Amino acid sequence: MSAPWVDLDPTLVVVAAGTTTVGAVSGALGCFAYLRRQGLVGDVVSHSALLGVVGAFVLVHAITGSASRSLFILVPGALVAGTAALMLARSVSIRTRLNDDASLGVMLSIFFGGGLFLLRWVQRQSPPIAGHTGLEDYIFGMAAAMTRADLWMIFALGGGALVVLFLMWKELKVFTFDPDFARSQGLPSRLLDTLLMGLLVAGVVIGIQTVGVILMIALLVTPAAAARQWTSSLSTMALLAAAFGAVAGAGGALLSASAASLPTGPVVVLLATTIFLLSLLLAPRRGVIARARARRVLRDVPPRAAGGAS
Amino acid sequence: MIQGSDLNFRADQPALDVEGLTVTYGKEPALWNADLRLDRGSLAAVVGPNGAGKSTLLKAALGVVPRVSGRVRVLGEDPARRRRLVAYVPQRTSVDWDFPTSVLDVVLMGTYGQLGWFRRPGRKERALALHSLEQMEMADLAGRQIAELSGGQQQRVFLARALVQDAEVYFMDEPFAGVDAVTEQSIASLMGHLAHRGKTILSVHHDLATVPRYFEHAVLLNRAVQAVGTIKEVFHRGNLDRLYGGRVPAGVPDLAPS
Amino acid sequence: MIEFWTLAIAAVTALACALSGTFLVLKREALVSEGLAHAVLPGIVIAYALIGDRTSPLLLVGAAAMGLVMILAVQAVRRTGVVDATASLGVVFPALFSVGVLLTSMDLAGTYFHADCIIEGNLALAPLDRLEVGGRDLGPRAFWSVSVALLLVTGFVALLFKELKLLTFDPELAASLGFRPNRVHLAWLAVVSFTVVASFEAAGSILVVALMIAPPAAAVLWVDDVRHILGLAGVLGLVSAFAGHELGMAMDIAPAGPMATSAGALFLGSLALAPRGILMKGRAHRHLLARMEVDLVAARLRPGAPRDLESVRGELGWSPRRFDAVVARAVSGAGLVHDAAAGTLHLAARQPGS
Repeated sequence: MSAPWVDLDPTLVVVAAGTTTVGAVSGALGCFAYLRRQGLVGDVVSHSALLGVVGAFVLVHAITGSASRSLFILVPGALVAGTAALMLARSVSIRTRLNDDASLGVMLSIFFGGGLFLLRWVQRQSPPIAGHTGLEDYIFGMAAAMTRADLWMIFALGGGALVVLFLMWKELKVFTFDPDFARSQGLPSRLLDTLLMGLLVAGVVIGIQTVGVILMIALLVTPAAAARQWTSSLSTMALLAAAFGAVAGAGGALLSASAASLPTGPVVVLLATTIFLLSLLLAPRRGVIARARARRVLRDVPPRAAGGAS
Repeated sequence: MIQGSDLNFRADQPALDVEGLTVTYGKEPALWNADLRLDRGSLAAVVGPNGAGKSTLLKAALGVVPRVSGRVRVLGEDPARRRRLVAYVPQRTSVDWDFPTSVLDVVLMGTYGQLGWFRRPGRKERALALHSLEQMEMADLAGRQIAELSGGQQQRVFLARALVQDAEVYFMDEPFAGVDAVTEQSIASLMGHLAHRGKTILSVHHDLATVPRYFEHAVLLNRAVQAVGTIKEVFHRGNLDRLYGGRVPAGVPDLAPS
Repeated sequence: MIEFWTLAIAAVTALACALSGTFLVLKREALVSEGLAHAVLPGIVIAYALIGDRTSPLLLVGAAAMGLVMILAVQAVRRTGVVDATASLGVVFPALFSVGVLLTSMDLAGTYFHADCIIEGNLALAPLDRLEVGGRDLGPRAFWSVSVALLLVTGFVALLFKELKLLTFDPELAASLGFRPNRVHLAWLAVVSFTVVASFEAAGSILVVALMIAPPAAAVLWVDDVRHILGLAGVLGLVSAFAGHELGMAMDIAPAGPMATSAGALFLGSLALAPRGILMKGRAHRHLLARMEVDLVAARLRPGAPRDLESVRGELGWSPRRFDAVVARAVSGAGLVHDAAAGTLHLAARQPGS
């Protein structure tokens, strides 16, 4: 008899390592989007990435005559499309009377609709383009198809994003908390804004293979919202969100591997949502239960004494 | 410890010299051709009706919002080279106080400008921040989560963050708004102390009744600067009637005749 | 005949979505449509599993109820005061959608609903599924369900136009006037939710979102009045539906992507051409700025007192190039006099001693 881990399917190890990393990275990066109240920006980036992924595939195929679904081709495409969608949405909401919500929504429909259009067109080509079959998986994610090369890409891009986050921590923190003050201190707000956007796009890009473009938003927002419940320090929040994301990612990979018919993405999201709900209810100070109890205590105290509390 | 040319200034240079400052957000300019000169040690209130561009004046002078035109000099130099000598206290309500951070952390943000990129605040910065908090009588709350502060305490934290910069020129956006009476007194005396030490303060202020008590100079602003001078020179009935279009808010003491 | 019904379904769907989307776009809740378009999925699957009869109208009502559940869940999360509105939506709708995808993959819905149809719907098959009452064929079921949605939307807008407008632009005033903005809002979102569900089968989630947001967003760039926005959004929705349908036919692909892309193209076109689009507004802004610049130079001068060019330029903080251009415009249009020999500038009107 060998130790149990030797029996682990090497494919499963790759997949679990990938989803865990994706969960951790997007959890940490999501904190900034969450605190800037830009949770849904990630939704737009991830949907737009479909156009970038399919577009890059088509472009590489047209130029070289062959294309593969390697992340080395698809990641740059997704980066370009995600950034373009955000920049367009931003300039629409600054320069027209349309609000943020509407301009983000429009860009989401254009880029995702366009991506779907292009995808269906690719699938209709005859003779069929080799390798196109997996493109479809970006919509709902297909963690099981993750290769070793994909895993290295996830490590590289995710690790890079975390390093940037670490190096620029203080600047990103003050910019997120008080942008006017940050500007008054000479911090380049446009650069920092672009940087945060770029980090978000990087997080999304490595995540869409696992959970798909539609559910990616949950990996950014849900762990961050859960982590916010437990702490009042930004660094602890980022670490906790990364931990929650990693747990959800790892759990999702293992659960869906044990029950063969379960798609990974939704399982990851539901695990993260469970963590969020528990945090929402149980967290010591901000939790619903703790707050209800605090209110009750306050109500039981005679009004004069309660009024004196600050 | 003085390093870099941007800390050297001549004592006779005006602390703040603004000319032709114009800002527009939409069709109408929010600030029009504003000229303003403050000597060192000035303690000046910016007053004017709603939408007069008071906050915009501060932000444009600081370079926080883009301007159509204008030249700003802080102690004789471009403000970009004087950042370390300029402190800014934004409106208290402009930030999310539910942000996960502590009182000390917010004050430490005042040291970020001097630290430069990548360097983290260390022991020295923490000591400075704690000292500023002591000045604002907030040292006990250094570890407190900012969401748990009262309005007055929030304002004290913002002021401590400005103090830690040890600046020469202070821009404050309604530091008295929504604070308790005790905090109001301590902010007023802090301003007095700073001005006494030759620091310069330009503060947006809403409560006309307290202008003469807390300030020595006034800037009357309604998109354009209508008057600048000592309280005695410019803060009188005639000017205020003109500034507010005859609807001077209640509570203004009857001042010197126009 | 099949093509006629396909177009009819697409047209009614486009109208219902565009009209209901208008108020979402105007009320800063455009992305609620994105939430609803995903959250109703578990509703559809569960309702089908419970009712077991795909022709039952209860199916639509049950699924629409799931949309309301999402709205209420988002409100509940938000009301805890610890999570803001955007994040609440971002937490709730992916969770519900995940439930839907899992249920779909577990074949709870049998063959009724295939995962491929979630995003794009199945417009091609919709005309084949007929509604029969007493043995008489009344046309495709999907046509009738989107028509009911359109009827509900137009009925609601017609009857409660004033309230909806007030709710959209000034909810506080609405509350102070004595009607309950929350109830009207919830009732309205129920109608929107029903529209999403009714459109879902034929259009899929992407098209529902695109048709709800893009046409009204484009219309807002052309006209001001809410009635006009509604009308134009409807027209643009119809155009996207027809254009997308033709495009899909020509390329032999499912029409959802082409329709969404057409709606997007109309929006981008409006962005470029409409009076409130980026280009026209940019031009107007540059115009305004140019006039402001000339006025600023004039404002730095006093009648009868020539001033040195360089010092005026310095006060305005402009580059020499920009300043020279403004001075050239000011001299030709605003009555400034540039004395090149002395290097000075003065106002032309009433100069003593000249």
